[in-house]
Amino acid sequence: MAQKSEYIQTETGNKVSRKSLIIGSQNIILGGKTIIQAECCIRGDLRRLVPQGQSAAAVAIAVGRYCFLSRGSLLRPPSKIYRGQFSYYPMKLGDHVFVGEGSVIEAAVIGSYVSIGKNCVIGKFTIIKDCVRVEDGTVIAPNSVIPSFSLVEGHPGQVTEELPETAAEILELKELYKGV
Amino acid sequence: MAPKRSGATSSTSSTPLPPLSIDPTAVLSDAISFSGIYPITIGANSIIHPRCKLNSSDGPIIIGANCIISEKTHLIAPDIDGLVLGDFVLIEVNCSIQAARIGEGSSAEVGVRLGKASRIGNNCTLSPLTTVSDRDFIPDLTVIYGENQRRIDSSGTGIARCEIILAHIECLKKLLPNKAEKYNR
Repeated sequence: MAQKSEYIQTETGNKVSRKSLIIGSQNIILGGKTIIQAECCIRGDLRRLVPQGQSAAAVAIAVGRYCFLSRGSLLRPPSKIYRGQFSYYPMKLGDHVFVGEGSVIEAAVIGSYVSIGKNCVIGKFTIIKDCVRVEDGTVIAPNSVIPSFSLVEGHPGQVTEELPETAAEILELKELYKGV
Repeated sequence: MAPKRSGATSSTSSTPLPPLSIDPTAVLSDAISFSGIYPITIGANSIIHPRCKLNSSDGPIIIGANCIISEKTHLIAPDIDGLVLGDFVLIEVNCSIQAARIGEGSSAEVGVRLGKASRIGNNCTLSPLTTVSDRDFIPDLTVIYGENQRRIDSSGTGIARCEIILAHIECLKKLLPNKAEKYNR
């Protein structure tokens, strides 16, 4: 099975493609059973700069369980100037987060059961709450907050519809993990 | 776009690198791919993230001082007149740049596509996924947003934006390992 050998499986069941680009892996936490496909890029090296004397912030990117990062997607911690100091800030993904092909994520927090389509751009410091679907090609502006149970689409991305209460069941990714 | 095998060894070990002139204060990450035959110049304090592709097959590439070029960006010189980036240019991830010139203080955000020999003025902002057609000219201070809508930025914040870029470069210099000597021969 040529397909199987494409992935390296970790102890917690993460499957990471050999062709993915993971930089600064010491600053990345994968919750387990997460799939990272080929040509994905995760920038763990862009970590928070802390003033001297404080303990270093260790985590740049935290990913929950059963996440799926499709081919060519990119996770990059957001950056800004705060109190005269330019720094990158940590990014946190919940469980069952699907990231479509070629999407670029610079969000601060993404909740659980979030599905992001192909070629989306999630702007810096965006907060996406639980149970959200982002359609293909959406551009979410920096610093936006997307409430739970929303469907977001467009350029700039806007909430166009509400998802049903059963959305979490539809957006669950356990079956997808078993299929790889 | 041919798929590339491995990042770390891809800096064209089989084919020769184009003539490079890299300022000693510039920071180049690992796994940058240089190709082509015309010279590539990188100015002072400029930062190039990993997995960038610079192709000078058809003309020279000149990157000014204090520029930031993010990962997965392709810079392709369109013709013999080459591609010139001014100072304080910020290029975000996934861009494909075939422009002739990008003016000082301009920024191209995620996934911007600049057509062949297009010209971007000074202090322009191109919002994510903007496409500029071939040979188009974007005047100074233009902001392109939404579905190719344009307006003029009259806020006069150009100098403040340059200061942010300087702070950004200072931060990246602490975070990124400098592999410039790998490309200098």
